[in-house]
Amino acid sequence: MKSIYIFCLIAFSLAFLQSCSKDFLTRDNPTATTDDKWWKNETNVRNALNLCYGGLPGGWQPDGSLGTASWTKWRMLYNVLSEETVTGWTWYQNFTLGLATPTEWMPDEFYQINYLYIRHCSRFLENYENAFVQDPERKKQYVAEARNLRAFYHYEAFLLYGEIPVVDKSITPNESSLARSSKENLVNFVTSELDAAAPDLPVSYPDPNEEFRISRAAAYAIQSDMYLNAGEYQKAAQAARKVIDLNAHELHPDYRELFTPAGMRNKERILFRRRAVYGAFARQMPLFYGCLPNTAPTLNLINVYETLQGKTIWELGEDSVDIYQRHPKFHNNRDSRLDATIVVPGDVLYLGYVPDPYAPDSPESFDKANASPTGFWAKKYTHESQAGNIWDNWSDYMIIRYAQVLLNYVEGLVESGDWQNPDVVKYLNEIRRRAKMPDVDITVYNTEEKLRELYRRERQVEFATEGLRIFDIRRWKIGETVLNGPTYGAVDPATGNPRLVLTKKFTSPRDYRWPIPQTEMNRNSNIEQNPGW
Amino acid sequence: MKRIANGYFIFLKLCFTAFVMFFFNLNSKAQVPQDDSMQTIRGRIFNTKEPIQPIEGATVRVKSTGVGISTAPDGSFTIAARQSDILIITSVGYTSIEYPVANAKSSSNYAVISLEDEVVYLENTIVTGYATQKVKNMASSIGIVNMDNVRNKPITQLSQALQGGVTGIEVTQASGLPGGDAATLKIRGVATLGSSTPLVLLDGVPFDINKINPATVESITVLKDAAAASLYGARAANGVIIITTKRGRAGKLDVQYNGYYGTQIATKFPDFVDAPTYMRMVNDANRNASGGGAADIYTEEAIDITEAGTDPVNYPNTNWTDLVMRKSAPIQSHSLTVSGGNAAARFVLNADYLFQEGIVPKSNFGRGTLRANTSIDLTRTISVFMDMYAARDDQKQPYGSNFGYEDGAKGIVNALYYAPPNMVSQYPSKPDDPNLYFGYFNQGLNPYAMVQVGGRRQNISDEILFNLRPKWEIIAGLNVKGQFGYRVTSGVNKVDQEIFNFFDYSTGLLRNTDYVFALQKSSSTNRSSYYFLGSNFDYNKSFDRHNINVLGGYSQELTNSSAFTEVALRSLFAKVYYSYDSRYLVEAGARRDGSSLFGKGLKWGNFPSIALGWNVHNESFMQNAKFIDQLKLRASYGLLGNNNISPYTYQTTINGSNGAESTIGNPDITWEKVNILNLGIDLSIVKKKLDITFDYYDKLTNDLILTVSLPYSSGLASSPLNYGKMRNRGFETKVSYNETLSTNVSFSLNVGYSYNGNTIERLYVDSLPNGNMWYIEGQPFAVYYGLKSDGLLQEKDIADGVPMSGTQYAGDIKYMDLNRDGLINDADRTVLGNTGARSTYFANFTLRAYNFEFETMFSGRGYVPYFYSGVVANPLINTSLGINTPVKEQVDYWSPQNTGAAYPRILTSPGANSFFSDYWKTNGAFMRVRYMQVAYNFPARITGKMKIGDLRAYLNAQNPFTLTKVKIVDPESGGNQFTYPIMRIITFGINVTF
Repeated sequence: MKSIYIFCLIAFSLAFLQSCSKDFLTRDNPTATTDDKWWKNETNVRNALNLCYGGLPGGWQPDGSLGTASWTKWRMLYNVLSEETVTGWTWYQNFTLGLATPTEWMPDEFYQINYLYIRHCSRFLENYENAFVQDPERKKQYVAEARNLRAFYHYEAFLLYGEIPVVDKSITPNESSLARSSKENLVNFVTSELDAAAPDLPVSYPDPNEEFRISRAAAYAIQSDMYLNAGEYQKAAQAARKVIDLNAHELHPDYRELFTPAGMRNKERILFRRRAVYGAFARQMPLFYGCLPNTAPTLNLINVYETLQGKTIWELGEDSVDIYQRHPKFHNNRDSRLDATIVVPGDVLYLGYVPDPYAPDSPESFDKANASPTGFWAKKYTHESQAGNIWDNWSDYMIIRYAQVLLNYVEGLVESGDWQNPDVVKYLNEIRRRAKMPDVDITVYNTEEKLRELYRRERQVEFATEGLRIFDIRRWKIGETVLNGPTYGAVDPATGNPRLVLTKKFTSPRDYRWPIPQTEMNRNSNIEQNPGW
Repeated sequence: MKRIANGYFIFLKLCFTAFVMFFFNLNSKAQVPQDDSMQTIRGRIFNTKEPIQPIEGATVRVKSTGVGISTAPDGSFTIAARQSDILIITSVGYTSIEYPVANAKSSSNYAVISLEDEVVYLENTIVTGYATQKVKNMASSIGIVNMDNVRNKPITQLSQALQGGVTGIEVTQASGLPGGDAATLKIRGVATLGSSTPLVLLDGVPFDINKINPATVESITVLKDAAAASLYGARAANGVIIITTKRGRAGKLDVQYNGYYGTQIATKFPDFVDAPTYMRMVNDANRNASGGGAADIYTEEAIDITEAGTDPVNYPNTNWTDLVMRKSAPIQSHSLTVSGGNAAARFVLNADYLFQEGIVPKSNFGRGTLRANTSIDLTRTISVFMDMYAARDDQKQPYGSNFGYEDGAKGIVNALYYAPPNMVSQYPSKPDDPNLYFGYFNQGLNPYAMVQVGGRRQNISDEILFNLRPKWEIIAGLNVKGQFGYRVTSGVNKVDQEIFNFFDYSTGLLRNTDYVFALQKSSSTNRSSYYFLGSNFDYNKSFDRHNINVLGGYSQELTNSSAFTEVALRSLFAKVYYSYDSRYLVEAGARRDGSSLFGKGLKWGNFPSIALGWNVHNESFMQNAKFIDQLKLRASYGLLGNNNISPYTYQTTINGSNGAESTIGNPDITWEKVNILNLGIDLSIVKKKLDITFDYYDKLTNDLILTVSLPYSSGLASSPLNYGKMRNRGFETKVSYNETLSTNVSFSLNVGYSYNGNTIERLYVDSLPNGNMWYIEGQPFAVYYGLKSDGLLQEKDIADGVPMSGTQYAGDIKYMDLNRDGLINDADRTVLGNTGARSTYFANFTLRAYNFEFETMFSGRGYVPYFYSGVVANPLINTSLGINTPVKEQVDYWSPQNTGAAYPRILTSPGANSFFSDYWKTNGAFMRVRYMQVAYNFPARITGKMKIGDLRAYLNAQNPFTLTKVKIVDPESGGNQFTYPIMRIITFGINVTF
């Protein structure tokens, strides 16, 4: 019987002592992985870095597998925020009609997505070090890319919302109510990050599969744009100069080809998003091809183009204005960039089709569902080869090209008082010559005022429908003029009057910025709304 | 039973057969001609403790002669008696029993007899978790479920049995679906935004209360305050329910059969309009929707023919409810229990089978359970409980989800609303045509066809529990106990539907290729395993006027569910009960829980509690107050935790291909903490006949876990955060009266009332919308939030230009413009009432008179708003498809001739009338008679002739009556067109002891 007691004693003490292992209370997720286990090898580091690229803007829908496909990052739609084009989509058009509110979907989603990618970058920067990367130079390059991208996302949000909070780390839930940064801090953060990153970035990527990565030129190009938009013109010019001096980029000889598959891999592009203009043809071209144009250029934009003689149509007098409004490409006597950018009634388009909404029984008639409301069509990033397969377009979209750097440089010089610098005319001419336009008439453009007028027109024409105009309007503070009043379409031959498409309404200073999304206002007690919203 | 063909049930049947054979064997022995000469009867007398102990000095007396002797120290006795004699055994502290000598016949005249402890006033004990305590020494708040709620009632899920009997617990049954009719339990309100289900322990092992066989339950205790529940620490915030199972006693083999058979009908089922009414309503709706211009969909002629019923093929008038649903559905239960044992071992063996059919054809639920509880004494001080339990639930239903709405039987109920009454159910068959022709309407929405040719679903779930509990009394008063519990749950689900094509009856062409009943073949499994390992000690010591009881222990538990989702818990606990002179009582408890649910550094938490009691009636100054038998004042305060959060919440997991965060964890997450203050008073007066208990509590939840939507700038979507605060305050009172009028007549009456008020004291945001139920700071947990209404718009209102939502017409709901901006919109919404009832009550009454017993119980709740919703509010949603047949109440709709109507004008799409508003609000209070039972105990002279021990027959009515203002739906289940109604059950049953 004694043995039973001993047995029981052992059994009871075993129950007490059993599994005193400290791990008993550690039961982590059995399938999902965590940071401490994942950041170990270069493959993972590269994948994480590529994720950071996913927030770059596209032209139209980007390849979703390369990052977000959010509509709020479709730059070709930003045109409708300016006077360049109009759309039937109210969530964009509301901004120019004065109807937008802080609950608008566009600013809401952009804000959210942008900060998500900022977080991805921060997380990369906080974790990459744990991974083994054979080549230390390459590791430095990865870091530079991530810092650069994070700076880019801050810069992009700054253009839309003004002084947003700088987020330079992956913040925890408990510290997530951030206040706005000062403009100085924000600009300083973006530009210093770019400065720090640039030396570690290659000047070029020989491997075509790597071309999409941030290069040193891209870092300085972003920096110059950041300075420009922050009003630090001298620094903007200096940064642009650094890009020029790298001698890694040049203007592509054929402006039209730049936006076609043939010209896709050109030396002009500095920063681009891979495979990011899906459906460009379908969203821009006439109904005839089965398209549903979502962005239609306006007469207001067309009228800006000079004649081949380097004159604006206003300089030519009333009669000419009338003719060029009726027939924008009258005698093919307009800046070649007009034909490369906009399709007007009467153009012989792809497959020989001649769109004209005023023609009897026209497939483009204004009363058709989804018809172009202006009677014009945007042409960039479309090509005849796509006419049979209107959606499938996996071309890259250029976010920054060399021409922008040149114009940044010019603008930086003029606005910093150095308008007499010979580089101003030199680089304007470089851009005009590529477009087969005569050199700057220095007898006319011989004051700071006139040069300002010219570089602004040059910039509008050069980048028309590429989504940059709204940022220029905001920087130049010309919203009251260009975003107020009637927006016109093609002239009705029956009446001789241009078609009134809509009347824009601009409220200053409110409309120089997007509102901080209402959702953010609700969730973040420390943030202040932009004025007027 | 024959419906179940699988191996498991064959096994059950074998067991059943074995028991029956055993019983006949006993009987055949009893039929040997009697020999009534004097014989020597030997035997032993034991108590019912574990391990068992012999009773020394008990008196064994022969009833007829009065000759008696005392038992020896080992409890043995030897006495001479005849076969027809009866022995009377008495002993101080034990309940006397009468033992027929004949019972010892089968065991060579050796009688093993157990005496139960005598229940002396206030000396009775209750199960409190790790131990049992004497009521008089307790200062905490505990409720004991009246086992009459379980005994002989058609309780299909044990949770239903908690209705009534214990104050402070709200039990709501939302459905009567066979296999889906479990009730939800809330103890003292809702203290969390997560699950508020209490912790249920079956013999110390966490268990699903609805998987427990009610017939094997010995006791159910509800631990309500912090002092009582503190031994369960991090899991106790929602309250704890302790369930123990019956154990065998030394003595003769006891065979019991309990069974009932009955019928179920719905407490409430919608009464739909007939086809002519439906057609007129559709016409009206179309006319209203079009502004008066639409041509009638159904001509007067068509309606007339339908009314006359002369052409049922082309002008049918189908009553879908009569056609599809069963008027009533049978329910039966059989339970066989064998128990017995001796000094070395005791056992209870129970086999139980329940089969419940549904009023939706082809829906049913079967449950078979087996329990074997064995107690073995290894030595005089060491005993072991070895318990095994196996249960299978088998639920079958029609496929039911042909339209992607609700699954199973609920889908059929839903289709009754959807199918128009002017549709043919099934066309007559055509000669030489093998095809079946069913009425076709919008995607095959034909409930009759769904039942006849639609698919089936089946869910099987198994539970196996092995529970090993050794106990060692090291010295007198010091016990060490161990426990190893192992539980495996597994389930399989199957969906099975063949393709069925609908053909047009006149043309024979396929009606619509897209919406045939599609092929559905799928199955899934789920599983979970759990083990509990622990040991504890308790020590009891009385000296002078002090009484001390100390218990403490250690346990660890590990659950591994679905695909390796593990939750581990390791705990230390201790509790001291101290009383001085039976006057001053102290209970102090603490538990330290370590949980794997939380991150590093936050795994461990401490949960202390204290309770103080004062037995005022034991004070010398009370000795003159003879009318007071008991007056006890109680106070307790303590901290409990709620760890009802998903596993891995503390972990941020990332995408394995690109490192992006996939779920955002919060490494700082910790348990919700609930502080409970409880003040109580127990009073007994009128010669111990009237007991009154009153409790007040204040329960404050801190660190309420909220899933907070974070600022965008964080780059995070949402994250769980310990932030909120919620308070429950309430009181409970229970009054019991027991009266014994004579030896043959006695009755008892219990009445309970509970009140609970709830406030959300802190949220991350001012309000958190959750559909129409909002969480708002300063308001009770979830309030209805919507528009206020002021009757229906009349022509005059339109002329006066009252504010409207868009364009409304006379007969639409008139909403109130609360912010006076001239518009009706979301900004006019306001709080429309609390989602939970503040007060609940119950009463039960038992009368025993001679051989008859009558028992009844009713329970109910006080005011709570109930909102009609979906088609129960607005019928005929989308009439172009003719969907949603109105019920008869809805015929009273507004028209220029009926401006005082109960319902707004009828429309094809309710538009603004479907806004969530108090127009659809009604008083959801109800009082329901839960059961009424009349039983008859057959006298011994009859049972003797039948050669059986006891025989009791009864008639029981479950849910027979309900008082409420709620129409169309059952007030308890509430709900809409998807709700399977609650059942009213009439059963006849017997209890036989052999």
